[in-house]
Amino acid sequence: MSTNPNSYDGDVIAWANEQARLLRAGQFSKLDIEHIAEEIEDVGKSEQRELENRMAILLAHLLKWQHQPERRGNSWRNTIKEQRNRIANRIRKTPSLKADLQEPEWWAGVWADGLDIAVKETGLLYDDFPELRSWSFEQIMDADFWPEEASI
Amino acid sequence: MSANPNSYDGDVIAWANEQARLLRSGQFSKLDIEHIAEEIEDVGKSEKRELRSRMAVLLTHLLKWQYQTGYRGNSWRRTIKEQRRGIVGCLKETPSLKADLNQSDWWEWVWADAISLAVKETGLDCFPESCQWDFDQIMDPDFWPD
Repeated sequence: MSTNPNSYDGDVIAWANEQARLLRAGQFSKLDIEHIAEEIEDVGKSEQRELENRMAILLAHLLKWQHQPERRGNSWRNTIKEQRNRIANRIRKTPSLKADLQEPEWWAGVWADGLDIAVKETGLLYDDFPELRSWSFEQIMDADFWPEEASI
Repeated sequence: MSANPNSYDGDVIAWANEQARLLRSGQFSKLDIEHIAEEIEDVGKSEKRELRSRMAVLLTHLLKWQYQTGYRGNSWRRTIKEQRRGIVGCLKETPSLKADLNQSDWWEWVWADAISLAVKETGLDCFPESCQWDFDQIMDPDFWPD
């Protein structure tokens, strides 16, 4: 191997220790700027992933609530309330997450994840559920919103 | 909340985007140096975690091999070989991990993980309180404790 032992693609711990030392010593001209910037941009990713997961679980439970009224109960109700609370808290703490909520692709991905969960947990088919998101963000988060069965 | 909206403890995504922008535009005097340095030091964490978990699994299986002679078989042998190979791979890719191997705290920690796994998997509770093997033994392909 001919990579520099302290390179980002070589020994990443040695790289990290050296970059942290250079940062603290103010030796900015020696920094591996691009890799540091990429790592820093990754810092917010776990927040984004958590929002995505929680929203998918919430959507799955709203779908279950709507499509399997005979199974409605406290467990589903509690899950829906809990996910709403936690999503509201995440967004309050990290308002930049709101940018994701504006993106149709973000919703498409989250809706697809929610459908996967709903199908797995209800035994219903994908065709039994709407292919695209049927509710607005305000509805999804509204404490009084409990979707009723679509009259077909 | 009176935290600066772009502070590390406030909106961490806004913080990250701003810091990345400052870095790329060379505005070093405005950087939040200490938090960046801490985040960068975390970069090797997943490598460290992998080494620790492989070592714990290896030690658990060496203990099972030693204490449950009746259950020895290909599955345990395969796990032991695979973890040894995995650990060699980790150390080759990230030689700085060797620093962890010289720390007695690290071994105590890994040993505790290994014991709790071994207790769970064997139902026995008779294992030594600290690791009685050295690293070279643990990694030696011919070492099968009796």
